[in-house]
Amino acid sequence: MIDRIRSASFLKIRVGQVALLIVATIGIGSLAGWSVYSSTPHQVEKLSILAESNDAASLAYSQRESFNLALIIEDWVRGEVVIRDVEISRALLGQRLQVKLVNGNPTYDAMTNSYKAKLEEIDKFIIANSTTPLSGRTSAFNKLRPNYDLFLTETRRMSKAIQEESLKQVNKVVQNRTRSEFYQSGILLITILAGLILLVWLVRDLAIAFRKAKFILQEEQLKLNSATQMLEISRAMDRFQSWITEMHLTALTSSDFANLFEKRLQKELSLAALRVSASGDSYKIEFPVDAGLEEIASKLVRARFADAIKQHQSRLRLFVEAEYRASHDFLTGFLNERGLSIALSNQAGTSEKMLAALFIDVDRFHRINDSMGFEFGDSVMTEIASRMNKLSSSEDLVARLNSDEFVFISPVANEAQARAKALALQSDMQFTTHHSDIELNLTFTIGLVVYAPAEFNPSELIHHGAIALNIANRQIRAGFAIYSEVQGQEYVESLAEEFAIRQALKLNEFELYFQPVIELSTNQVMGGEALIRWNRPGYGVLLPNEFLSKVSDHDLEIELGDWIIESALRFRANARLFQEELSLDSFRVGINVEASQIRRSDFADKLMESVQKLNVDATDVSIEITEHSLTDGDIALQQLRKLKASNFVIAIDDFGTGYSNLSQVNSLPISVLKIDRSFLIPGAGTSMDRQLILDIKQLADNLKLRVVAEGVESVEVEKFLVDSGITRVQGFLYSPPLPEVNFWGWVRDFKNSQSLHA
Amino acid sequence: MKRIIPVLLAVLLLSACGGAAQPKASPTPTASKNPYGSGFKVSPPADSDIVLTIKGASTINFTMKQLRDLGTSQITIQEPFVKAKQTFGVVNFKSLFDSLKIAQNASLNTVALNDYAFKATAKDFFNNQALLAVSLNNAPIPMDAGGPIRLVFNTSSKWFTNLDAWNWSLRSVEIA
Repeated sequence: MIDRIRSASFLKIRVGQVALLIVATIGIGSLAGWSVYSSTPHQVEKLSILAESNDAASLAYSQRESFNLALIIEDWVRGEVVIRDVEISRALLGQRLQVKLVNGNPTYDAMTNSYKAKLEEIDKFIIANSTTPLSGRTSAFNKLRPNYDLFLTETRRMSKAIQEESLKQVNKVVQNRTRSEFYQSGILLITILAGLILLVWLVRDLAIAFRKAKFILQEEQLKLNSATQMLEISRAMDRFQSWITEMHLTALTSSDFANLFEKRLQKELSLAALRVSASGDSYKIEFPVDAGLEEIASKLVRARFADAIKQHQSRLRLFVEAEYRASHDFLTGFLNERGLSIALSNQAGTSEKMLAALFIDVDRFHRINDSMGFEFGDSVMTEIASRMNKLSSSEDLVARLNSDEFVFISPVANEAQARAKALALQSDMQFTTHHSDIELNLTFTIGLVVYAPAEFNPSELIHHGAIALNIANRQIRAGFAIYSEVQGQEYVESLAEEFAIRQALKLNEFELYFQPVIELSTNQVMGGEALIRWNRPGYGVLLPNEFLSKVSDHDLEIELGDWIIESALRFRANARLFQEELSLDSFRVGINVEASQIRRSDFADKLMESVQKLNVDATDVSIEITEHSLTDGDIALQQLRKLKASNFVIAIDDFGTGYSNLSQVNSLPISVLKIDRSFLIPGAGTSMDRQLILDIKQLADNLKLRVVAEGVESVEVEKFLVDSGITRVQGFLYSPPLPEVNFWGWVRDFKNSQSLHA
Repeated sequence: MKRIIPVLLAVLLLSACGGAAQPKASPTPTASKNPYGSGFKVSPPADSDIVLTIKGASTINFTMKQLRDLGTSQITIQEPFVKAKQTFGVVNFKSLFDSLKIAQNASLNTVALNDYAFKATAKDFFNNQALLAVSLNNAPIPMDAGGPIRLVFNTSSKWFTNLDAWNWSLRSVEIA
């Protein structure tokens, strides 16, 4: 704005004004200069009037000297002065008559001819009477008398000439002064006029400039007000945009959004009558008639609103897409678990019908994926989804909960219909597919949960479904189970047990007990069999038959088995501390190994690594396996052979209770047969049992295997065994399984007691 | 008229005293061509004639010779009365008072033969470089040209234009 005022022409200095200023300045300068200049002429005039060089003064001095001359002549006549005084007086008059007047002529020229003539007569008189004595002076003077008187008369007349000359001089000065004053007055008048014109002109220009500046200021004020309003609107729209950007997006309709936008805009712009309407995905903003907004301001609001809406819609699209991605399975397009929960929550209470939730597990899908690749697995899953889609209706809800698990929710009339529908679906879903030359028959296991929507809880439903599916999965393939409260409870308890076992492993609640193995022929302790116990808080010490089945159920055999091996080997390593004291030439620890452990292809290697690490001799370790383990494929046999080759002792535990063919024992890599305790019940053993023991002994002898009898609990049995040639025994007759801390004390006591008997 | 009476008295005094400044026998004047009438030549005073008297606590008389002996210098100026270039032999007016030790603010009243007087302080006279002319164009100053002695000022003096100070035919200086 300042620039605009500066650039405006109203304050421009005009040529005319400059000219006037110059005229006035010159006028003032001239007057000042004139005054300074005039001071000298005035002084000259003054001097010329008063000084001797002045014509009138010259005349006056000449007149005076003339009178002096006349007087001194009379003095000479009377004899009062000499002639030289007269001559000097005449010379002094001559001085004055020589003085040049203003016109450059001597004063003498200004005298009248009569004066000049009479002065000449006087000169002659002086010259003629230079020697005249006093007596002759009067007569001489009388002759001069007429000229003398006329000389005095002319001298007196000089006063008039002086007066006239003075007047003339004064007149001249006055005339000069008048002319000067006239010129000065003229210049002063011109100066004043120029100054006045310039002043009026400048005042006029200033007045115009003021009006223009005022107008411009008013105009700029309006613009400023407008800009301020625009700025405020812009800020309000900034806040609106920020609000939209930070708005928590939910699945709202356009109309709902329009209402939100309207309320926010009303607040930000302080326009209560502002309206926002939605039409499809587009929004329209309307201002009240009396809003007081300029057109440009409303345009700004509309433009910024459009920007904000564009941004909002972009966010909304991303939100919807993210929501879809978060709630749907990318492969099948079905709802995922989160999507299912949301859908179920939305449906809660909207249906009065009973619902059947079929939790469908694709049998062996993990193995298919692992062995044939994920690409094939995905194609299989796509086919399954396609079939599921075909089998579903608009009332059904289908979701993929995880890689091989679906849920299919359908309204049913009752549980029977639900069961029928599940079985039908299970049947219809089955199909055969091929991978290379392999034919794959896809089957499905279904866990069914039937529930009333009123009692519905999505997470509970999924929980029940998982239980039902787990129960159904206990069947090998195409299992089916329907959820019930009892089964659910059992399942929960089972899970609790699994959790307790896992915790027991973490918290070292398991403990190994060792039952001594004794050689009766020498009364020497030859080793100990490691037997697991669980010091379960609140339950006491649990025996293996109280928890091993649960360990097996929850696939914890491997983990527990590894712990047993590690602990038993440590026991054996620690045994070295007691062997010398107790005179134990050899001491072997027996470790029970489950079939699942020995099926691992790295079992032998890991065991060998462990004995090396703990510096235990392999010959001091007896791996005790059941007959069942030997039937579990080639891998187990390979592992056993590897261990046998590494000098481990392999013992078949509970021999005689399984279905081993005695004739096959020869081909097995074993060294010890442990006769099951069931054959050695005191007093209950049948003749057949006795014969079987004898046969086993005979077989072992033939195969050069050692026989160990376990579960010896009576002297009678001991006598039978000894009589049968079986001298290596273990059992309660000697000692129950003991904790490690007690075991060596027992061995010491046993040794001491044997010494006493001896 | 006031100036005439002292002139007359002075003339009478000179006459009574035998006129030290006057020649004892005045030669017969001869007519000459002058710019102020026929006129005649007036002989200048002799070297021994007293031409200047300084009157103060004591009186000092100067003859023409004594004045010249003070040392003269030449100045050529445009004489303001006759408006003609003239060369004067001059004595520094201040040197007349060297022996008197007068104060700067002492008043000096210069008096001419016709009793014309001009009065100013010694300081003004000295500062304005008053000069006592004793010759004109290397000759005695004629009586009709302000002789025998007169006060002149060089063009560099402020009193060059103060014509009242140019006292002709100076006779005495009175110190007050």
